[in-house]
Amino acid sequence: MFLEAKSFNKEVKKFAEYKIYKQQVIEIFENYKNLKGALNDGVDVKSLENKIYNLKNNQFIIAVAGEVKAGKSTFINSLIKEEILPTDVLQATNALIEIFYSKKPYLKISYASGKTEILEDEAREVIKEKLKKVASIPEEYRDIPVNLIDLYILEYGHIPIIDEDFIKYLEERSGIENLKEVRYKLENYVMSRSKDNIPVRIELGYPFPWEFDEIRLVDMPGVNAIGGVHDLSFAFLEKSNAILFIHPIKPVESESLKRFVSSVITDKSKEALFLVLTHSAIFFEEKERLLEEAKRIYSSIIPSHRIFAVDSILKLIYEDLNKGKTLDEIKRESRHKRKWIIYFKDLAEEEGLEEKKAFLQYSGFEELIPVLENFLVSAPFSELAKILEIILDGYKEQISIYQETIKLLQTQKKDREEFLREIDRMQKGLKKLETYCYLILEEAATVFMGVHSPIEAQLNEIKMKYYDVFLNAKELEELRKYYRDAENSLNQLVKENLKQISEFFRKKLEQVGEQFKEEYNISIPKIDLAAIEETCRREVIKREPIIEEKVESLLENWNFLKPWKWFKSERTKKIIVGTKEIFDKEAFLKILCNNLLESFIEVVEKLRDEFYRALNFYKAKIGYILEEKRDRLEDLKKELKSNERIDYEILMAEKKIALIEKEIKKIEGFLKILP
Amino acid sequence: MIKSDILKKIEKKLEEDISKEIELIKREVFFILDKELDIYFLKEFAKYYPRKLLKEKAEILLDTLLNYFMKEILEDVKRLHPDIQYEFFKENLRDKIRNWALSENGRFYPLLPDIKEKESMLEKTLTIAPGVALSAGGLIATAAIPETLPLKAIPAVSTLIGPIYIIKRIKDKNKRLKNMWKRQINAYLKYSKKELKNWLFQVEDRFLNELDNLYKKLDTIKPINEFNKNRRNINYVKI
Repeated sequence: MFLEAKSFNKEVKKFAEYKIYKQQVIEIFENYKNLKGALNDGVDVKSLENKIYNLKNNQFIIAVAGEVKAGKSTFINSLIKEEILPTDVLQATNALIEIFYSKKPYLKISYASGKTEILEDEAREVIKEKLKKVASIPEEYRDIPVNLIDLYILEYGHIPIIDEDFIKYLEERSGIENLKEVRYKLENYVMSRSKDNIPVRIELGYPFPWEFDEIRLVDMPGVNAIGGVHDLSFAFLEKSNAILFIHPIKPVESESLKRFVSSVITDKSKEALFLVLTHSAIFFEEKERLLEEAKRIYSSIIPSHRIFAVDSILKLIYEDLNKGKTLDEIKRESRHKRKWIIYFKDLAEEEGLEEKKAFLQYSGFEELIPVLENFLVSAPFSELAKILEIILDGYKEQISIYQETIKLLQTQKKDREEFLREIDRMQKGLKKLETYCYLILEEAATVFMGVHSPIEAQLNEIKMKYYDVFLNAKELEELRKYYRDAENSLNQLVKENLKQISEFFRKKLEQVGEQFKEEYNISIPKIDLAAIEETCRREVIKREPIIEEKVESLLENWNFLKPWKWFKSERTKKIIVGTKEIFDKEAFLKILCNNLLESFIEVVEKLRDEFYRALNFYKAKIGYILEEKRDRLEDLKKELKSNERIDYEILMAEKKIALIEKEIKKIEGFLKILP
Repeated sequence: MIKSDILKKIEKKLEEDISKEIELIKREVFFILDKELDIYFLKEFAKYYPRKLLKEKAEILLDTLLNYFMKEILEDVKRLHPDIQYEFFKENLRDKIRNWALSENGRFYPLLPDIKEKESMLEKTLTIAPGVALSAGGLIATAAIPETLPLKAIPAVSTLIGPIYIIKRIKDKNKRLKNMWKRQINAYLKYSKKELKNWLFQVEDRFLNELDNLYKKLDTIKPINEFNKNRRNINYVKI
């Protein structure tokens, strides 16, 4: 993936192989579909087609998160082997930058107003320049929190009034002090902004020198000092296959990471979290010690095998060397690589290492990439195996159907009376089977429905747990995280319980070739959090008077005749000149919490209904399969065939069996070598 | 048919289940009510949520009752001739009863609890009465007691504490409202428990009736006679 093929070890190969395996599985599926024809072998083809569709369109999303200035852009450049993201600037955008492989350079910028801008087939420098323009802070605004101002415009749809309240709000959220002194800058900046020039999504396609085109790297907007991210980023984090949190190696301790993990990302996302400590070249002597320290500090958050220390500049030097440049050329071209070249060249000589190899080794990427790659492909590989197993089961059932048919045809040829008796005997068998199925379904209902069912106790537990968690949330971000956690827990609960039902059926109905896996199309109704937030927001805007102080003159209102009005303070009045809308954050959180509580209750209720429907699904499916088998027998009974016809059909069935057996062999061999 | 002693056992188990589920509803509702939430939200919650939960639990209890019955019957049915077993299952007794019990005519439809939005005049009076009495008593005593300061101090303190007590009680209004709602929900659940029980017993009657009819119907099917003749010769369904 991100390393040269030469440096692949056995583990790394998996990624390159995945693409080949995937293609072969798709071919196996196409063969299967042709061989199956209209035969019902118990495999739900639609569901299988769906799996294949997902396989074809699968994307591996790697989210790169971290504080602004943590070195995200350099890290990404070093991964994609191309210095295309601007690195010497402050990232000024709340927009995500999605980076993917494309044969021709492509840049699409979507703005908050819906306007889009597309650059196609442009030179790298043009794209880089455009990115720099869109995604970095202009020099004159480096000392004001431009991201916060943009966020305000995105949220409220209009530019803010730069008054004391707003400045205070900016100071509080950004941690930047004395913004009053740069009020004119704030005003200028605000005047230059509108939804038309605030980017929300940047898509960058480029012919990067990597062979895996299914990866989508997402450069997340920098998390704020307390680790927060806005909704769009949160949504992306949720669907990421891996999240790389970038943090400078020193100081190792990071408040933003701790908060990012504890209150921002969901528990499910935590399973995909990597910590990448950057700038390791600066502290090269201490690198191992700092890495160990990080592993110790974050042991409760991230498993130690997912914590790495890297240096992106060293990896970029390695990439330059790979492109055929000499160290002297690299030194001349880039000042910021210069000092590292001098130091590490010496070190490599001392340690007797070859130049290129040394820079890769010192960069730390050699350790990170294989682990990341392995992590990313393990789930897709098991999906491939799952598909193959379904097909295998289908083939086995097909063979038994063909063998059964051959047997019947042979009987028909030998003795027609015996053939009819055989069909009757089989019909009786099917009837027995159906009775047995009903019995199993009844048993299943007594286990999986009612107050003593396992799901009831678990649902109650989850409900009570999350009521408490929601009500104790202090921040909007926490609430968002907890809500997604609750949804994920419910999803997991349903998945586990459906698995149990499947196990129950599988055990009892193995002989029938029971084919139902976990495809019941049960989905937890998603809650439109944004809509709820919008409603709450409307409810909690309160109007506050705008008060101005006015001093009456001595001549006004006969003040000179009133001795107590001779003091200025006595003539100072506060008058209301208008009203303004104030957003009550505390009330907002409270109302949002209430609404979430109600929605959660609804979701749990719907989930229960859907779960119970799964049992009916089984009932319908089993009934359908048996009925079809019976109909097929009836058809055979009615049809009078000549001996030539029977011989031909037997021959065809045997041919099919031979073809299927060949496919089965292929699949079994495949399953053996799948990692 | 289900024997009467078994039926009694089922009813007993069901009653225990009902009590347990009602307790769970109470626990859940009170858990939220005890939280420092917006009082308007809590009022709405107290008004609508117990009924929602009751309806939900009623359905789960219905399945539980059907589970108890079917478990008993299945033991008998397993001993029948396969053809009769087939006919029995084709009748789909569980679904038939379930559909009826959830239909417009048979469903359990609890009313909304009567949740008062404000305290009544009497309740308000009772709340502040001790404070008023204390103050009034204090005033009278202060006036009546002779001019010795130490002695006057006692009723004077009472006079002061009275209003403080009243203000505090008025400030505790939300807490009192919540307690009032809890009492009302308690009463509502107590009443609903009986209603729920009655409804489930109606379902029971319906089930037993249907079962009786079903057995009669099955009796007319030929193999059952053979089965009756060879009762000891059990033909299990074996696949």
